[in-house]
Amino acid sequence: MANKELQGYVKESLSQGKGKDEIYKELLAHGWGVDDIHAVFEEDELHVEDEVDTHKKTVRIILSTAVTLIGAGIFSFIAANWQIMSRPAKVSVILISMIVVYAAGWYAKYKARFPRTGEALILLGSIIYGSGIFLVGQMFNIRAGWPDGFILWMLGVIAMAYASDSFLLYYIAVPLGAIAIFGHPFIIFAQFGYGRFVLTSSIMLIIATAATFAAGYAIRKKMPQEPESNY
Amino acid sequence: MALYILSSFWPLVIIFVIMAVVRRKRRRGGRKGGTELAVSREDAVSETFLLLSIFFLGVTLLSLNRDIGSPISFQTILLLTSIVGLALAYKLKIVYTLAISTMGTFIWFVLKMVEWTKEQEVNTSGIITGIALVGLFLYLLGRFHEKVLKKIRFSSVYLVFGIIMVTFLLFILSSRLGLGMLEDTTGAGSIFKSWQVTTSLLIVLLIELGAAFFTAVRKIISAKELVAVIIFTVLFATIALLPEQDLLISGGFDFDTGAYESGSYTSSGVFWAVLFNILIFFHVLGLVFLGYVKREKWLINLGAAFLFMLIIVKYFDWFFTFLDKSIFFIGAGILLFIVGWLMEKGRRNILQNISTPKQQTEQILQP
Repeated sequence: MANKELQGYVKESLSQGKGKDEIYKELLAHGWGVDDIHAVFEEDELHVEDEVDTHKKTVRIILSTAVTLIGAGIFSFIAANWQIMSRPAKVSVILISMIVVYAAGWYAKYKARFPRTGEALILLGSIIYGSGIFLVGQMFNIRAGWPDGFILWMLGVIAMAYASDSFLLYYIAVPLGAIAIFGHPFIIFAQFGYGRFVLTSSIMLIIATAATFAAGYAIRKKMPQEPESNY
Repeated sequence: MALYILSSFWPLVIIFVIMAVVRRKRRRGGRKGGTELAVSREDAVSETFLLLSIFFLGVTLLSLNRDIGSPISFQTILLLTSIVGLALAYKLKIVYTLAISTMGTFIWFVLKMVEWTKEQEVNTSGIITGIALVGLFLYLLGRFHEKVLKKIRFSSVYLVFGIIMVTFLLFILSSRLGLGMLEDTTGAGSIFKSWQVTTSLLIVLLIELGAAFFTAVRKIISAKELVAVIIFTVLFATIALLPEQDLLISGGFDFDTGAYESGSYTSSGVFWAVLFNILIFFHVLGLVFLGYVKREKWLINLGAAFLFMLIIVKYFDWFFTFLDKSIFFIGAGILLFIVGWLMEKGRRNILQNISTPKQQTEQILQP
């Protein structure tokens, strides 16, 4: 624990605009040890980091709640009005809401410098995109296996994660891919599985293999080089 | 159905990986070592995606195979996918894919052994031998990666798999259930009736023995480790050659005494039961001791966990039918308390001894 007197002096000096080197010199001249001074600075920095971290977490929780609520609102609106809406209206609702949310996310993240708000909006866009896939599939009675929907969703999320350099979206893409991997063998091993003559699943799977490999490889290339001994 | 179960365990692995990533994130800033699942957030995410791509490759091959009328077997697809995974793991230095591909290759080997033994109607005890020999080989491969190739995280994968395989087999075989299984595996003909089973076991045995002597000569493993490996090799190789065994005497309702009697063992059953129980105890204690000698905390923890499980399993195995149920459960509770206390104390002492020299150095450096 750093000395209280020393801590008070450092804080006061910093508030007066004195530099770190200057404070070090002054205190050393007064007989304080380097370790004591270093401990005060370190503790101070840790406090600042903790505060920043708590703030970030709070913002993230609030924004996540917002995304969930808006997502649920959009779903319930579509569900409630689905029967009375015409097909062009349904597609328009999905497309417009997705584009608007993505655009708002991009603006918030890159233009207005609200990275967390921006990421939350982009995440909301990805949820709308995913739900759109299944709604369109249902609307037009598209003959395909349900895991293909998750592959399409995952591909979109990976593309958006790569474009916006968002690890949050990469995390979302992983369970989506896992659901597709889990679901496909159901159809493959089912004796009387539907879609036996539809090759879309195989094509989708090839694309998914390539996309996940490319995503993993691209992230790995960007990674700082780790020492050989770490492996 | 079995094929489906085998192919659908993958998502569970992914969930495990995600949980590991989250745990790692929480512990960020800690020591980077061989048992860490990832060295950074980027590493964890890229490893997960590359692992997903291997899973997708497997499912793609299954799907394409189905589309063209299933000319290739499920096992071949599993092997192909695992080989691609292994190649990718070494090329890109990725641990998750290495672990899953190693598991995939092992599952392929077991499935092929099952197929051959069924086709040729030979003893399935060869499968037990195969699993054990592969496990021992993986252990040696792990030590080789650790000392020669200096790939610590890769070595952890092989070591953990190797140790788990051998321990699991000993666990099973040391119980009454396992001995019953062993009895059943010797009912059919000799393994020499199937050239596939004989050849594959011979190849695995030669590779494993070659690896044992190579690592011993290069001083990668200690003399004690070599002795343990050779004892296990001889034991499990013998199992493949066993003639028909009669190990258990089945129990049931005794009309004379009017009591339900649990089954007992024949003389050869007693021999195998004693042998396997001694081996499993020494094996688990050996793991803790090895961890202490090599200063490997993860090995001590793994050994301690196995020891805990062993004591519980043995208590149930030996005393469940013997004692009154209330005494049995009270006894189990007291035993758990004693085991827990002893393990906590013992583990703490060992870990303290391991970290002492480092702490002493730090103290010397301070003014």
